[in-house]
Amino acid sequence: MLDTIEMLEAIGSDASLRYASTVELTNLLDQGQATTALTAAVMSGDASHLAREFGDMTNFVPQATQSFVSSDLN
Amino acid sequence: MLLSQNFAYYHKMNTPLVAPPKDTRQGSLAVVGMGMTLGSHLTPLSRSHIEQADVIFAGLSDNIVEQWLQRMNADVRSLQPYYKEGKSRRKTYEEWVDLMMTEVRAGKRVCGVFYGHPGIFAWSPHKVIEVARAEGFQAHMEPGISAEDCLYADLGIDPGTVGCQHFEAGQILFYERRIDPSGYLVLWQVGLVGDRSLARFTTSGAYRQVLVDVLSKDYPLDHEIILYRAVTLPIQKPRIRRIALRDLPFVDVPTEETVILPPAATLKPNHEIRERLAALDKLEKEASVA
Repeated sequence: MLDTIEMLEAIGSDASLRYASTVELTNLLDQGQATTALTAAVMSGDASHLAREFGDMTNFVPQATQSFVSSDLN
Repeated sequence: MLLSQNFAYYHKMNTPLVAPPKDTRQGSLAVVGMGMTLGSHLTPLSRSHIEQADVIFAGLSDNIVEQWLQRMNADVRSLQPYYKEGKSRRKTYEEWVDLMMTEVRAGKRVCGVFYGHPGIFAWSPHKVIEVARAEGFQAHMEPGISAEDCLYADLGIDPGTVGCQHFEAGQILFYERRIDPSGYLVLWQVGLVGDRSLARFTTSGAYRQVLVDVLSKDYPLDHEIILYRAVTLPIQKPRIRRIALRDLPFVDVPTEETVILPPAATLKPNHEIRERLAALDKLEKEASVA
């Protein structure tokens, strides 16, 4: 049985799964005994349901400071 | 020639390819892109760097993607804890470089893993490669599928049709840039536009109003703009919102969202240059006949 991250990896790397309908994917997840959090996320289209399983952590994303050129910062 | 001989040798011997032994005393650095979407974008070569490294430093946009990464290598160190509200992000990025270089200098095979493409809107990956090479270490970057790449696919935009300018939104405010409204304009990190301290996680609508005022010199206020977020998990759909430019200060804009301004003007023919080129064509044709 795959866990949630393995299922996400499988969905992300399979063209049929990646673009399956919500109903199709939910049925497949049901057969694969997916967690309720993953099933709820797929059914609602809201990934925040996965916080139940992985914690409610929001990553900060900016990795650049192009606002200022370096000569202005030094 | 040598490479093909090697392949012929391995084929003949029916032996799997085995990488040559590494000099374990010499540190090295690979900076790779994770792509945007879990399971969909990581290239085989980047994955191989991750699996073969002694230590991984992760600058990723999604906590679950980071947990996926942890399954590929036993020593994954998140760069997230170095962000802090009130602390300049420039300081954070310098710390990231120091963290990676400390392990390279200790003789480790280090892999920096960054979301999307590690060299796009990312200061530390370029800097750490520069520092490592200056100190004589082997260092290079592997590209990844970026948010920009996803944007073109999800929004059906070809940057080659009428051109496309990209800026971090703040640069439009802090510097006098020349915007071309006959092409696409893509603004990154609008969610913290106008932050001069580099220490805030977000800025208010009042700052976005300044951006709108600047953009209104080149675009009508009712011009339709697009707010876009690429998917990080394969069960998501891209977030695409279309609003009028004037409404930008009044909607929530998370830092991971990008603002796209489609063209507001048609391309203007350059008759002078066209005539010059026609004259050149004529001259070349005459020369070829003679």
